[in-house]
Amino acid sequence: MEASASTAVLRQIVRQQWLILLRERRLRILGVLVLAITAIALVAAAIDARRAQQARAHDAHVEAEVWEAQEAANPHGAAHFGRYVYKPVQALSVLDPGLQAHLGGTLKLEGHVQSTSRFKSTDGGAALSRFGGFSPAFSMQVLAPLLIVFAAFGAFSGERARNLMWQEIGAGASPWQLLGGRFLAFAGALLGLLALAGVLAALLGMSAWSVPYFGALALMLCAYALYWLAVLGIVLAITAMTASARTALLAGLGFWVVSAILAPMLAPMLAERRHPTPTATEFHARVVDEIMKGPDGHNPRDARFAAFQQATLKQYKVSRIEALPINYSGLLFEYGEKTTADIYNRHFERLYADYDAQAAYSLMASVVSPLMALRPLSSALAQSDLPAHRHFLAQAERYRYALVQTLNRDIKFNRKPEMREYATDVAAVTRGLRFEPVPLTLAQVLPRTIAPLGWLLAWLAAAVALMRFAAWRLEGRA
Amino acid sequence: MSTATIILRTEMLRMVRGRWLLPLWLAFLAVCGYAAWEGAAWSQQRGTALAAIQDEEREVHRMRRDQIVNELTPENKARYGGAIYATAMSFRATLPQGELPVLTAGQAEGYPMAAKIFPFVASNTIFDEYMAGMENPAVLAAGRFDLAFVLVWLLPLLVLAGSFDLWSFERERGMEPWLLAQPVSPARYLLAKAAARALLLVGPPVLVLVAVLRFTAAAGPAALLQVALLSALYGLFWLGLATFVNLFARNAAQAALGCVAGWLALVVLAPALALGMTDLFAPRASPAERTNALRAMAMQARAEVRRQADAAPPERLPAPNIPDNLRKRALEVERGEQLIQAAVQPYRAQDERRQRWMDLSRASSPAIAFQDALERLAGADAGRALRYQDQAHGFLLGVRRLTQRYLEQDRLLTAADYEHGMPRFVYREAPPGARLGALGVDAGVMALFLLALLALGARRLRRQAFHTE
Repeated sequence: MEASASTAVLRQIVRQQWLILLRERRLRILGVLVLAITAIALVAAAIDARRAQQARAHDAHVEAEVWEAQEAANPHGAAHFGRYVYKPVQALSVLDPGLQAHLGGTLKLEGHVQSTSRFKSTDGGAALSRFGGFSPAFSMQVLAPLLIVFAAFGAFSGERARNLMWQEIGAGASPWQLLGGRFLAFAGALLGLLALAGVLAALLGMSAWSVPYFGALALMLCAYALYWLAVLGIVLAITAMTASARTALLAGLGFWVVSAILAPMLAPMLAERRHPTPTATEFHARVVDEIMKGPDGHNPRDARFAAFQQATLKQYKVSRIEALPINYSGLLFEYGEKTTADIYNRHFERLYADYDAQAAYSLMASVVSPLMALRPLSSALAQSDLPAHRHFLAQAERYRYALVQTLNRDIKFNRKPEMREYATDVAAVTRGLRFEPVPLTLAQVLPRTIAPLGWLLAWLAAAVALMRFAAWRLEGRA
Repeated sequence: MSTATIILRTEMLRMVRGRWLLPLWLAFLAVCGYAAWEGAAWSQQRGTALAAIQDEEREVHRMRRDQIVNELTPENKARYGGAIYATAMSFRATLPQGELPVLTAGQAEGYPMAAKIFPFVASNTIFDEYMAGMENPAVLAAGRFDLAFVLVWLLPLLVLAGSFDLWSFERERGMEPWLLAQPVSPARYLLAKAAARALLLVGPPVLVLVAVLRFTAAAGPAALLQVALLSALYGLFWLGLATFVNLFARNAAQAALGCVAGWLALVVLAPALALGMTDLFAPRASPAERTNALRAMAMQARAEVRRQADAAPPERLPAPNIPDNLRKRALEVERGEQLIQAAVQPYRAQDERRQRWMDLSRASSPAIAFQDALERLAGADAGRALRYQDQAHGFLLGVRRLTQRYLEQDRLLTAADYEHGMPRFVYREAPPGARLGALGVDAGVMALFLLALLALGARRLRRQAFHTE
């Protein structure tokens, strides 16, 4: 009996708050503005993604033509000339472009060297570029919480709202019911906005529709819902604890500045301080040093090559290089490539371990900002984060290695001692090799979402606890 | 004592007695100090990287010189003078840091800081090695917490936090009718109150900034003065905005909302919109497409030179000091350069158009203009980076001309060449007048925005809408 009365009161509060939300012009304008910005950003991102995908397909076609145009060439020269590969655009990156602008979508593959990316969209900018552009993720991660602050800061603060609250308490509603009712009313509006954004994103990504696509999209929207509800809970708790609307607004804005602006900027920087990454110059110097001196610094390249020569002569049971049935320089290129690839792989693994440590450190900043948990989760599901890029790089490296070694083996088996210059149809030699990158599966992505999801749930629980505390304080005053 | 002075003093007294001013100053000092520390670390790291690149050039030259001195004999001179010739003249052209690198990383991470130059390298690839950094993309995406960020993004919040209720405070407390009944014009009230805030909210942060820069950077007084003046102008613009909002706001909450909306519009939305417009109307030339086009040109040059070589007589006997295949390579590179320069033109024109749009976008928000000014002062602006690229390209052409002379004279490199005769790349800064002119444009944009606010505010006051609503 008591429970049904309580539910009726709650329903009444939700209905009343809904009416207030609908009547207030300021909130209607703010809601429509955020939705419009998100929708425009989504459409623009979808157009950009389609254009980028078409451009990459075209570039891949032209690149293959250029490779073919080499005709008869020295295979080792061709390995230096190299090939370019292009990263496919992932459907959900329309919703959250993540780190894409800083990762680049092109990779040069060449002999002896491994690189991480080429042609980042942030290259060649101007002062304007420092501000960053719009993306649906920016709208949903940064602007939406601001909308929540503006929409909810006056829910209990300010003279009128305070008086209304005391009247409601006088009429029999408990502060917790009032807080819960307002929370449910605002949450309904926010989830409606989120659903609209989700439907629009799904419609724009129609070509990628599949079970994993919808699974990832649904999980992403759930994470955004948790984030928004956590922010809403905190803002409502602030407003319930503050009589002055001005103080409530300033406290809400303070929370927004810290959680949406400062923490996302400071955490990665502090993480980099804690786990420093080498500069490109240092990195390449270390790699070259290891190539020249060996991994332990006591096994110089000349000595390694001499030992290799001895082992080769022994293997083929000959005493002179000229007597080998194969071309020795081709064999040496093959051996050298394996050695440098191993060295590069080792150094890149170390670099990526630093990146992982930085990511783990940044995730700890979720203590002060729920956005620090949402960002990695959202970009992981969109496959626009660093692990997704590394998955692409790993496939590209396997292809690069196969390509270069195929060219080296061609020298090894086909270059005769009497040939002063050796040239072959390198396109024909490498025709059997194809680069067809495969994105991560949802099952591969999901483990990375568990910890951030845990943080978001913890934030929502903390927000509800804070609301409960605010209600308890109000009960004490009633 | 004039009325304005009395209002100014009262207002300053009220602000000083309030408990919020000192924490605001201290918070600004803390973030400024931290940003400068981060900026100094970044600048030091970059300086080390540049020094390492220059060391690399010296090391290669030393190695080549030692080979000539210790290993060159009449029998192998063609090998040492010839086979290694393509890489014997190995140079590094580096872009030195500006006068105030501590201020901001600016565009430094979006442009190459060095070039690797060999006579026979394709001119479109000289920056390749120094384009890809190893920084964590997550750090780059988050943006650098440098002094420019503190000034462009946070200084406005500090000024607005201390002045959003400049007049609405009086309105909310019911003091407005009483104040307006005094024989003092509303404009004088507002100006005196704004002046008090200028002294306590703009002045101290500018002094803090100058002190921090003095401590962390080896900048001259002229550069410090320029930073101080530009920062003060930017701070005054935000104070002007707060005053303007107060002419309309009915209460402090509404004024706060207006101020934050203004900040959001000018610091977040206007730049994003300007960037979107630039992307739409002046998109960046596709670097992948350009690379493919230039690689195709290189292949075309090679095919042409091969055809000519097939028709040419066989290699000379006795062999010259420098093998003829290097002369063939030089011809291929020369032809390749001609084709590359022709092929690159449309892409270059597209990029120049984009740069012009980006330059124009400064006029869309004082925040963009101020960021641009800070990047110029730091020596991390796009213009300087592009100027450096032109000079590095010119240096490569100079090295090629030098190589051509060696080829024509069939002259081998000597130890003396490495000791005295090698060219050195030295970056030439833009003339001071051009630099000051660009800073003047940025300051002009901020001043224009401020004047526009003052004009609109004066119009509102003239129509007496201010105190009748």
